[in-house]
Amino acid sequence: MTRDRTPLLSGLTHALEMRWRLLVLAERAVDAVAVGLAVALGTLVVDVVFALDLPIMRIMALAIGVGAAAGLVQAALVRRTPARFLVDADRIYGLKSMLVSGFEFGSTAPREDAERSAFQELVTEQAEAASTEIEPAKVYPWSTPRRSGVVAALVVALGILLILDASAWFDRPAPPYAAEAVALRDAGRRLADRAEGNEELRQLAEEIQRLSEEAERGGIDPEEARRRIDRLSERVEQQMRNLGRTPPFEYDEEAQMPPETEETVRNALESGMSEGEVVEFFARMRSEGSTLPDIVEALEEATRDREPNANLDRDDQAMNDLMDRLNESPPSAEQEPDPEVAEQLRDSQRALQQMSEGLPQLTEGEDREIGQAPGFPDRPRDEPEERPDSPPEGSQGDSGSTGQRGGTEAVDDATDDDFRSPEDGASVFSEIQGVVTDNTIMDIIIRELPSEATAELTEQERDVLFERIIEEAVDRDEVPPELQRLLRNYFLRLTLANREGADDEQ
Amino acid sequence: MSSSQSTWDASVQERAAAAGTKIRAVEEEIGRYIVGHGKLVEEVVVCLLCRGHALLEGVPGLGKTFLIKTFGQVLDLTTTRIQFTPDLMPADIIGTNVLVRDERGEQIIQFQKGPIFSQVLLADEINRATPKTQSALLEAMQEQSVTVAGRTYALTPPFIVLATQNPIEMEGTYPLPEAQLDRFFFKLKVEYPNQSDLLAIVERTTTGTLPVLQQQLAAPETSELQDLIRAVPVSRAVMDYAVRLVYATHPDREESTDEVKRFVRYGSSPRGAQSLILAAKVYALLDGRYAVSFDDIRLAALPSLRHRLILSFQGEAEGIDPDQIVDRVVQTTPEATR
Repeated sequence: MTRDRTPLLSGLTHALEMRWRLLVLAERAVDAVAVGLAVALGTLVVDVVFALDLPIMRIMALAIGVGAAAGLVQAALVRRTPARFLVDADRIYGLKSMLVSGFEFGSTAPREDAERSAFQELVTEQAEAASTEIEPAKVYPWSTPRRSGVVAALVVALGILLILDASAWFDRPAPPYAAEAVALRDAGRRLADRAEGNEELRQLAEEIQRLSEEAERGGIDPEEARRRIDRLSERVEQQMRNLGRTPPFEYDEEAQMPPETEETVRNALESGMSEGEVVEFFARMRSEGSTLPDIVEALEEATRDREPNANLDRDDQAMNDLMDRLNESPPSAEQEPDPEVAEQLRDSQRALQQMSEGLPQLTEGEDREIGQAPGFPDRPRDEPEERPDSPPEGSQGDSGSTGQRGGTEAVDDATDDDFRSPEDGASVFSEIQGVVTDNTIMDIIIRELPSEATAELTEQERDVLFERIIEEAVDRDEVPPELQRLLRNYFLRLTLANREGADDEQ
Repeated sequence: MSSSQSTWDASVQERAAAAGTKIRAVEEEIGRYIVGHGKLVEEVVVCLLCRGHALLEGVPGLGKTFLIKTFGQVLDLTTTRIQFTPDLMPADIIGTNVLVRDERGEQIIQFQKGPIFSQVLLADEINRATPKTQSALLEAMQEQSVTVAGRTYALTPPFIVLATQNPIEMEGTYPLPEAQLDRFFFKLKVEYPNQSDLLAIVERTTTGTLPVLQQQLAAPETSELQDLIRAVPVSRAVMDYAVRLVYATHPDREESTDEVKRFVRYGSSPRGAQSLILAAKVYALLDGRYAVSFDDIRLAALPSLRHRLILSFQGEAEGIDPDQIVDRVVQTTPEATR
């Protein structure tokens, strides 16, 4: 026969166990924090020494979380017999093992030995009576966990390091993260379409796709994304080398500008050519297959008979920018064994590079979108986005009056609604969407003001205005550095396209 | 709880209280003769109540023999004394068959009982006899009977052997065999009295007016007390502690201390654990409790275990005292493990 004749002792045992587990949990929590801080401190040191730019806070949170979870599990799983708690209570209260004996005798069947059973009954009764006086907090008093000092020291050390490095954590521009992820996805998709028979390309495309999907879901740490992007970029570059072409963003030595180019261009500008005309000249010559020396020579020839009619007042920076634009050399067709594949590789690498530049700056709630890609969720058009880096009102020309897509490869997903003209009345041309260059997958939305004022301009004036606005925006750092060149090229394309359209009409 | 149960419990309570009172009375009566050995007297009484035997060790002249004789008088038990010497033979202790003439004049073989046939046997200076003679006590101590010429004779209960020995490093002594040592419930050390106690001893023994001792416990009452002691319950936790203490004296056990591993060749036998538990029961009853505590076990540890440790050569060479080892074991063994 077994019956619980010790309800008070059972309750006391339960209370003691709860109290004890609470203390164990507190101790484990301190351990977890200590481990987390130690890991964070170690990571920070490694980060500083090797300049890895590791996500310290995430690593620390992860370490503390894992440690706390382990502590919780341990505190929950650690086993102690009820007798152990009562032994502790007996010792603290000087009860000479009365509680542990009474609890055991009351929980087991009486012995056949009458005298022994009588003794057991007596002990049980005494223990039950004594149990009401027991306070769990006295048996297991709260005490500062042993490693609290270690935690405090680690907190101080980590705090000092973080404070010293705090400035580097904040002053960073927002990245075009989401849009770039979509762009990356498209690049990967197009690369995959053309990767038949090339296992390396296929794998690259798949990895890019996976990375873009993770990036779109936000399920990847920006730092980790950047590392993966870097690796992918290296592989893309290697693949391009294998295909026998110069990697993107590296200039061919033979295509370098001759030293006299700047002087020739300066002379051309002083003779009355606008900057757009010079750029147009270079672009047209290039499209005809001319090399840079040939172009410079032709420009010199074209402006030789023209009298200087303007004092060129351009600072060095503006001149350098112009020279950079002129220096962009399209790939040579003879070097490309497979132009389409190489092009896709370049697209992929560019998208990768853009993501890589933008990702580390991503902070939650600060996703200041400056790029927009097909398929990416759009903002309501009747709710103009308020951004600190938006161009000032009226500073933009009627960029949409041409109503044309720039480049030769228009974006498939773009619709006519995206290129509404001012004549549509209420549908003021508020956005332009298109492809910036032949090979760029970046789509740009430029939100701007109504275009009534720009309707009075000639096309040439408008082009000049475009240039000025862009230059001013670039000068004010309102355009992220990685997009400045794209933006210039975009408007250049628009200008060239308008000229070609006008020539055709004539 | 039923009313009959309560009455029954009250009866047990009264019996337990009476037992404590009687035991204290015995100790006090012996204390009238024996000065400064209160703890020693208590431990001898514990041995008696546990049906055990005690080995008292101490230099000559400390009153060991006197204590035992007094003990027999207070308990009204038949007492015999054997002075162990190197030429003492087992038959001198147990007895022997002798050829005698009966009432009809015929010669018959008759068993002549030795001094072991008593209730309190004082084996004085037991380590002065040869191991063969010492071993003559083995059966009597364990079985409470003796066998001579194929015939077994039971001893009259309660039977207790109280042996004394001088420290073995003294001249002309034979160490007791381990098997016989193990049969002693307690090994008690008789310490030299302090100055005030020595003054009292001198005063009492030189005036010629020793008090008359009163019998405090008859033999049947002693047997009843022995039964009552065994009824005192022990919880599993406390019993587990006693067992772990015994295990901790074994050098091959993981939980044993460094001292045990270095200086002990063999740890305590299971009799050590039995001794711990039984003695602890007496201590609990003497303290007015009805269940054994960890403290009771610790109180019984030293007299129960010290003679059951067999030191290694290194321990012997370094003159290690087993008491140190037992103390260390008690200190390092936790009351509860889980």
